[in-house]
Amino acid sequence: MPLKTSLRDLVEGAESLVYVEDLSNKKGLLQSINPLVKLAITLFMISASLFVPSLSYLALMCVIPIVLSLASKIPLRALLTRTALIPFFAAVISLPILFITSGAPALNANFGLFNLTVTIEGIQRFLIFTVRVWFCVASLTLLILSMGFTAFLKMLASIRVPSIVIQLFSLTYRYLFVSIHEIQKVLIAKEARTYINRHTINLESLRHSGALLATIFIRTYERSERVYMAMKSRGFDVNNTNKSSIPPLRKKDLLFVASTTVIFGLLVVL
Amino acid sequence: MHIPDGFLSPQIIIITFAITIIFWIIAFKRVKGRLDERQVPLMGLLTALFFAAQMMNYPIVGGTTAHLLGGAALGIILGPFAGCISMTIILVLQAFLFGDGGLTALGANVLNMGIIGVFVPAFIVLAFNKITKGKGLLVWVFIGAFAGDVLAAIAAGAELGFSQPVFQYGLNVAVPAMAINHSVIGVIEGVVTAVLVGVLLKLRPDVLSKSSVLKSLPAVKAAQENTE
Repeated sequence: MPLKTSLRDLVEGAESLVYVEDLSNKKGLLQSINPLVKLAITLFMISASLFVPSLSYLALMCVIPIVLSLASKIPLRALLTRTALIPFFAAVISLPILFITSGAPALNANFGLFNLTVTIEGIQRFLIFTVRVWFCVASLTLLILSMGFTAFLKMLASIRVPSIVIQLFSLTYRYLFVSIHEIQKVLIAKEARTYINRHTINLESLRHSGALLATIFIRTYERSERVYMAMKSRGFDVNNTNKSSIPPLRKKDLLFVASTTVIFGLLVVL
Repeated sequence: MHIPDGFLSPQIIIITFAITIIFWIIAFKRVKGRLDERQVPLMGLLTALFFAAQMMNYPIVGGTTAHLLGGAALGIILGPFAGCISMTIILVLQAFLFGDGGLTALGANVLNMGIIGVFVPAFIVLAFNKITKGKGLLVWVFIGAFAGDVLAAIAAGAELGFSQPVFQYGLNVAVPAMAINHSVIGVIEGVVTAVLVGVLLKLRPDVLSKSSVLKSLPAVKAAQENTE
């Protein structure tokens, strides 16, 4: 198992969670909006983008996440770095579209046996897909960076998600950090006791991974008993979740809903 | 396998959400009766463990790596309904905290990884466990995990293929691309899940006593009686 990449992913995962909590506590536009309104608007923005067939309108729409990011004190760099990977992946998988879409030729390259022609229609399809994916990813990223976990749980409670499920979300989140730390410890301990520094896939390495996971599983199982005892002694009741409801809709929320709906309605209709 | 926003058509988004919501209601009703106060922390901690375990990398070829999905392990160890809820929690948190998988694609992602990826392995192991009476169990765990992974990938490919023109390619490209890629990951998932179940059966069979898939095994029954 490649230790460096696994440790990097685990550390980045934990850091990302802390960073999201930091940003969601800032006093910006999106942070002040009701979480349920934010979710509904994000869903609306993403869904509306699926109906926009024009590249110029899609490009115009991409200004909205950037403006919202600035108004919410979310560093533009954080938004751009977090939204780079998936659109890049979308661009890579849609590269062949440039060549296989029929239409007016824009570029022509001759490689002896091959003759590659990029069409104008191909470029348009490629850009529409990639720009739309960026817009969708940016909208979701803004929601993530401005919400925070407590607001997320309150939002779940407000849409009447059963209290047991909310407890499960809460416990999973809390113990995610412990699990990440546990896996890091076991991975480092295993690496320290391994003589062969060969990171290729084989049956032996997979067996080690399975056994490692089993060890962590048993530790987690045993910990859950202690966690239950500790929670019980502090008054834990599975049906008693935090009933503090999310704040009611204010003028600011309604204004935000109205302005977003009008902007996107116009872009879709036009 | 996490489908981001902007890849699926509105029709596929609605259909996948409708199927997923039906499964959520059934799974929750089945689990609610059995999930007592003591099991809530256990399920939360195990969900957190598999969430973190998905961040572990496995090398494939040419420096590329793959992640464990964990659906098969959750389905077999916790049972398919509890496994479905655990996997849903993982996928919702991945979408809302890390942006892995989209909001509008959540229905599709849960259908692929939280329903197909959980129920297929659980039912394969359950069915063959009954037929063979526990013989060759780990082989069936491997086959179940492999089949769950590949079928989930095929479903993802089909959803993308049916999403034309929002997605660029049709079924003839999307399905084989997903199936071939996940055949390799399926083997990794199969071996790791089989070893995990094997080690648990050997060292702590009592932890499997809550699993509707494995609780009929003699080793698990004996361990359960001993703890009682």
